[in-house]
Amino acid sequence: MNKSQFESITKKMKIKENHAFVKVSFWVHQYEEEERFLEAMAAQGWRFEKLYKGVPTKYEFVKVEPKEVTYQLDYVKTKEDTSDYHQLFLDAGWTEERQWPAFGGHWYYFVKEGKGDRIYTDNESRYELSKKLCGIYGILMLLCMLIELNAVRSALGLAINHNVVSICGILFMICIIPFLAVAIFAGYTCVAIFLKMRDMKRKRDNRA
Amino acid sequence: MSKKVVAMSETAFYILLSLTTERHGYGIMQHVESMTESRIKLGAGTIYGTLGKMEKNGLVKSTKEEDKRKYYVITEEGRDALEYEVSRLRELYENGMKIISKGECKK
Repeated sequence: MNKSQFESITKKMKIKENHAFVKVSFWVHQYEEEERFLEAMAAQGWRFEKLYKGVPTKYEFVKVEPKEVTYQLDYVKTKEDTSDYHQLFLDAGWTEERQWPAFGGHWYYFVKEGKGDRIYTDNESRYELSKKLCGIYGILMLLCMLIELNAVRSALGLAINHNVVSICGILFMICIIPFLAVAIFAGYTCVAIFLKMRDMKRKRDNRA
Repeated sequence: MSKKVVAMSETAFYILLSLTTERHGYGIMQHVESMTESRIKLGAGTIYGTLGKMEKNGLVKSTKEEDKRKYYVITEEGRDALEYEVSRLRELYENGMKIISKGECKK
């Protein structure tokens, strides 16, 4: 994240006493940009405090001393979310600052003082994370599409049988909208992660 | 070894090498760092993911859990893979040295 990108995000920052609120949305595949954003805020003396769901997402910060920190985000599937995972990160010096429930698991926000440390130190494991995310959002998209197709079919069936647009039909149509939104979100995310993976693969092949 | 043989990554090689002694994740991290004189610092996510995959592939097995830390040790199959990798590296090294020591590499 360069300076102008950061400035455009924080242009509309609202400050109340010693709290700051920033509205910005990062897509799933932009989790590294989100890390750099939180680091830039910390460098200006704003410690990440809270996250509010919504579009766009709202970040709350608290005024502290400016500090050089490293943020790392990790996505963990529910079944992999074991105590030894958390202990290992703690042993390695990472503080689990926040968690964010997501489809099929959790996002964790890890923070450490100083610069340069990474939780993924080889291409293979970075690639694995993307693969995991691509799979999760692929499933989410398919699920939504399935519900959606069923709803459309039911609505059409009702409309044809009753020869008028029934209340049920309209209700079905309204139900379709949130599912359609999630399906589009998941679909876009999936494609974006896929492109990122292709890029990683290409870079790796070029080096080999 | 019936599995498809590919060059082992540096990460996988050093994790396997560390697990010739029973260790937990952070223990591996420290051991690799001291073995390579800080050249390789494995990330927590990388260690966690690689151990999970290796366990699934039967290269390592978990032995116990103490204070939320899971301990691992190399299996017979893991040792085979490690030995194969060392002999592959030896071949690379020896072939490389043949050329370099003759000075054919110099411009």
